[in-house]
Amino acid sequence: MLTIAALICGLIFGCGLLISGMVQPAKVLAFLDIFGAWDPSLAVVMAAALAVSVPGFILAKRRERPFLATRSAWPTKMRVDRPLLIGSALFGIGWGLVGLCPGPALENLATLSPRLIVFVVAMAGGMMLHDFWPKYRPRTRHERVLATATDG
Amino acid sequence: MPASWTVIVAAGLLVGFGTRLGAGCTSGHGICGIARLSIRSITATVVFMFTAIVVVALTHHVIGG
Repeated sequence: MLTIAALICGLIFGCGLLISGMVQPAKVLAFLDIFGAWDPSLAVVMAAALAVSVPGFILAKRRERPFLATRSAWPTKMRVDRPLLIGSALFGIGWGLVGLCPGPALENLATLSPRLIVFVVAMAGGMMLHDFWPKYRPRTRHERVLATATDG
Repeated sequence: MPASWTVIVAAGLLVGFGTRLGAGCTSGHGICGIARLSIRSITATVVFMFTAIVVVALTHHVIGG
């Protein structure tokens, strides 16, 4: 049941990225190009996504546990720390260079474009590099589980 | 997509490493995190939007012209 729910959620998310144009690197770069031919339309996408997700999260928070799991796994970190700032800054640089963030990059794999495949392999490499970095290396099983759970 | 393979690989590494270290991306922090009114996610979104805008400004108007 959980797998079916995940499939449906992925399908809806993927359709959203596709229809809104988030999967087109050129459109993303035009959105980020505020000093040039700025295309602000993706801001509407974000606003629309929040209009749905804000009430969704409010409803989810009211529940004692999710429909399909025994307990909720809300992010526990509250403090803005150095890894958050450095990580986000690095991600922004990569995003600005190519116009691809992880979700749209994976969805774009369907095009089988060699450039896309190389990008996704490099992205996976970056994630593995982080996980093998001595300082951040998860030591216990619990830490490994936490490492795969993001804030969002 | 940029013409240079070096840029593609570098960007991929940065996106992978950065989203892992920063514990989220455009969807994770930008949508889910902001929807929960998380201070961490709002900060992360401001930071990655800022660096991305700076990089686009530099590559489109300063270096690439």
